Amino acid sequence: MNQMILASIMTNLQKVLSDGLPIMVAGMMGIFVVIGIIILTISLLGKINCDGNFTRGLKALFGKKD
Amino acid sequence: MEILQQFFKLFENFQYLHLNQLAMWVIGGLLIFLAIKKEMEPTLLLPMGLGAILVNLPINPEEADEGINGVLNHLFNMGMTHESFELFPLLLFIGIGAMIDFGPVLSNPKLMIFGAAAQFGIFFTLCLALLCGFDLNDAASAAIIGAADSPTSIVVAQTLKSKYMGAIMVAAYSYMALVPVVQPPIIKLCTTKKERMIRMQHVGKPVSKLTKILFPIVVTIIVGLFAPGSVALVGFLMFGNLLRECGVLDSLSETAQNVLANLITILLGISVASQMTADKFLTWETILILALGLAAFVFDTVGGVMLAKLMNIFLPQGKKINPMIGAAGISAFPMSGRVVHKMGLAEDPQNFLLMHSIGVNVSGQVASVIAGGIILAMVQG
Repeated sequence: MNQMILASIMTNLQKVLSDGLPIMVAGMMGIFVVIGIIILTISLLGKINCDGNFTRGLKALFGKKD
Repeated sequence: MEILQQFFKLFENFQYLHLNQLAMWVIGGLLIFLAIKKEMEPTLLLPMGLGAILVNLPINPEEADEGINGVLNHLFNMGMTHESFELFPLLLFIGIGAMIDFGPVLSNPKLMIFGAAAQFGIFFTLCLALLCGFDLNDAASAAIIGAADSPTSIVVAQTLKSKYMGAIMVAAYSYMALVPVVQPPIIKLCTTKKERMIRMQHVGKPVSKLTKILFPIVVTIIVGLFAPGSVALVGFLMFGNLLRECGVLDSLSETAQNVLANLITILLGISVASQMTADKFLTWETILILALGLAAFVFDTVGGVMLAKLMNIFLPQGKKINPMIGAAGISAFPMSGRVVHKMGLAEDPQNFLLMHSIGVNVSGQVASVIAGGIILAMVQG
């Protein structure tokens, strides 16, 4: 009985390592990349922080003042 | 004699009544009680509660596909299945998009990063669900409860053909209503009093109308390029937002926010209830799904808070972030933002975090939809 439970836990653990963890790492990376691109794009659009000036926009994005 | 036979026919249905159906009546009653007495997401819990009673009335098994079950199943097939392109939740997204003002996040776009971090619970719960023995499709469907965004949960669970649709819906909606109960103890556990008292300056700048109009268009294009699985969700969300921000379609925006959203909500709640039959709902897996949903909410909160704490290591004094705003990155809008604001005020009556927390909260709405698309893309392979 105990061996069966242990075997089932091992099988599930295998699934976590083979399916779960790669999805977790790649998924979180994916979200950060997409959100990062959205942040950069809307910051560089020229109307939010930078009034049309991309360099100033980039500086503003990283908290630097002109 | 014939009259008596006719009379006893009235009680014929009693032979089909089972104990588990009675249990579902109690669950349905509980949902109605929570909706009316505690005002927990009443727009959905109430139709779901009555629906749970409706689909568990005793019925001759030969007539199971007729009557009320037939009607509700038809409604479900019309707007909730993958074959019907999950029309109801998608249409609801137009209404949600029209309700959201992205102004706070547009005035300080960096806040969006916390929306991304607060999706951690989804992926962590996926691993937990796999460890509990669920197959990948069901694990991903349970994990997406952590999106704190029920239309996204419906679309993902339906696309992945999860067997636990009813449980996932109940968890998604009830935990959204429980945000003020679930989040504060987790936030307190992850932060010190000193951190909770960090004051943040309002750095937001006025947002032009053009920016507000461009935002939904730009987000749709970016998400379409990088996470095509979320295009339907994001596209409808941003369509609703464009109706709101364009300034020339006020009546359509109002219709989307009120009439459309209300109409779809009625249909959505009662359709979901069609999946709450006793044989599908009263299982150990349902209890596990409810527990996993809670875990997803907890680890979403932890993810957001921890990113803020990590950023604080590198930020100079005076620019530090109150880590509590990270917790607002779950998309339970606007509850989560308000919870963080109230917690900030409780620690320091002069600490106003509302603009920051609401900014993070609306970015969580976008991030959760993207997370749904990424889950779909990865699990469907």
